[in-house]
Amino acid sequence: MKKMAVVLMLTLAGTVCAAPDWSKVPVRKINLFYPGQASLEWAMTKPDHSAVPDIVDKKRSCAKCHEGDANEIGDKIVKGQPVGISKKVIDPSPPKGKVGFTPVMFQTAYDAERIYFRFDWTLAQASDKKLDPKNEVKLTMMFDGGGTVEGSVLNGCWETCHNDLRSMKDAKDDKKTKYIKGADLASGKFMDLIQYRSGKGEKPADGYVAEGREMEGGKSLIKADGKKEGNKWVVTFERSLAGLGKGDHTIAAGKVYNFGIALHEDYSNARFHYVSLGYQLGLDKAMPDVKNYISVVKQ
Amino acid sequence: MKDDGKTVSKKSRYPRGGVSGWLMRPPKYSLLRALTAGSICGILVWGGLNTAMEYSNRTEFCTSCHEMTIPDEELKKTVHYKNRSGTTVSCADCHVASSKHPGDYARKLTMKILAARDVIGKMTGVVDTPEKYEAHRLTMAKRVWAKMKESDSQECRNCHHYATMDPAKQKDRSVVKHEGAVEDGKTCIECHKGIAHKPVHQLLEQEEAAAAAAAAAKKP
Repeated sequence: MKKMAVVLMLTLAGTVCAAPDWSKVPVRKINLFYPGQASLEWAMTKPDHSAVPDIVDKKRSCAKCHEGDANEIGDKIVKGQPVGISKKVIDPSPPKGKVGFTPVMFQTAYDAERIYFRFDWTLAQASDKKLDPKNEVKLTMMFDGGGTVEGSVLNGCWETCHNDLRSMKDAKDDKKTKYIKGADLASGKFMDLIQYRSGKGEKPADGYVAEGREMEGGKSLIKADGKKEGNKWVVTFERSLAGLGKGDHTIAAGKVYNFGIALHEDYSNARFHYVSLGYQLGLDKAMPDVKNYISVVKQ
Repeated sequence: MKDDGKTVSKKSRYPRGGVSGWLMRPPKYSLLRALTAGSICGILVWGGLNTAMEYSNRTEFCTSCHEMTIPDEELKKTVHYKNRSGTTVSCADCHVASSKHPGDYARKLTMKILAARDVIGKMTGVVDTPEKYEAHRLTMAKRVWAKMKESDSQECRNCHHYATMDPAKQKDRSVVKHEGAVEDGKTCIECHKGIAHKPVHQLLEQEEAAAAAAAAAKKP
């Protein structure tokens, strides 16, 4: 009797929380581009980035102007060229062989208890730097608690990216990781971080970025899978909607969550990733006027 | 004329001789003939004036002063000179420009008369070496920007219009900026400085920043 009850419960759990039928979930193409050393400080310096008044006064998100040309920006940076009105080069020594951008097909769905993310992309080409020999690919998503990190409403992950981090322009401490100014775990001013790691035996990470980056503490990430077929990668995350651990946000209906994606491919590490501009998601919530918003469909 | 004591000859009424006499004497024409002749002369004179005006609007005329070959060479490196569609501008399109509005002829004429100042500049050699030109560049640019702002960038709007910009063919950031410009009532030249000649507006920004810093320092 007890055995039957357990089996029944597990079956029910399986049907309620099964992976979505991805063929029925809308796909959003997101161009991940190579950002070089373009930190938040860079983006907020007017001689380098003429849009500073638009950001400060008109609250324009990065994606509003740059979703269409992020690929061109990435191409320039990876060639060691300056971008826009800036006279300075954003990456003084980009890795050889890196392409400027990689399109990623992004899908997301949710059910009663969980939210699912799927990413698929085709690897471009190998570069000469192998900074993380363990992991050919790392796919990371960061998201706030629904407007809890003020800057990320406009800039997604850029709120965590600064000139004094390791490998950045003003780096002094080669162990310094991403941080948010004025971070506060209690009030939700942090970015939840989930990461897939392709290395054999490597576990997915569920951490957060507050005063520094922690790769542990979270309990909401249930699983992260990755599969490589030829040059094509598919990575899926399965995460509970509830925030269960330290540095875990709860994802609830009615809120708009600010997120970004980072792809470390070809054994790369630190800032040598492809990144998305700031995007937004909400559970079954329509926002047709917001270009960089994605509604999460219910299973 | 018969000298019958009653008719007075023209020559006796208008005794002045020579050209001035001829000019002062009324003609022996009918009103219709006078009007017809006048109209034809008027057309010739007006046409002549216009032709002279347009002759002096040619790039070759402007660059006959060697100083003007500097900005002309700079223009040739920009998209306003050479581009996919082959549309091009000459000096007068931006620096004399009237518009397609019929009443703007007065403005065009005024600009032409003011251009006499350039002749004085040429004679006094204000920018007759590349070094002098560079030193004077910001002053000249400010003058042009002020004129364009005052005309609500008529020079640009002779060819470019917000309403006929195809957003599908512009980059996202251009669409967003132009929508913002329309909202804020901005005129083209406020953002699009330095598009036809060597950019110098960064010096303007530095000047403004220095002035702002000085003003802030003066405050108690």
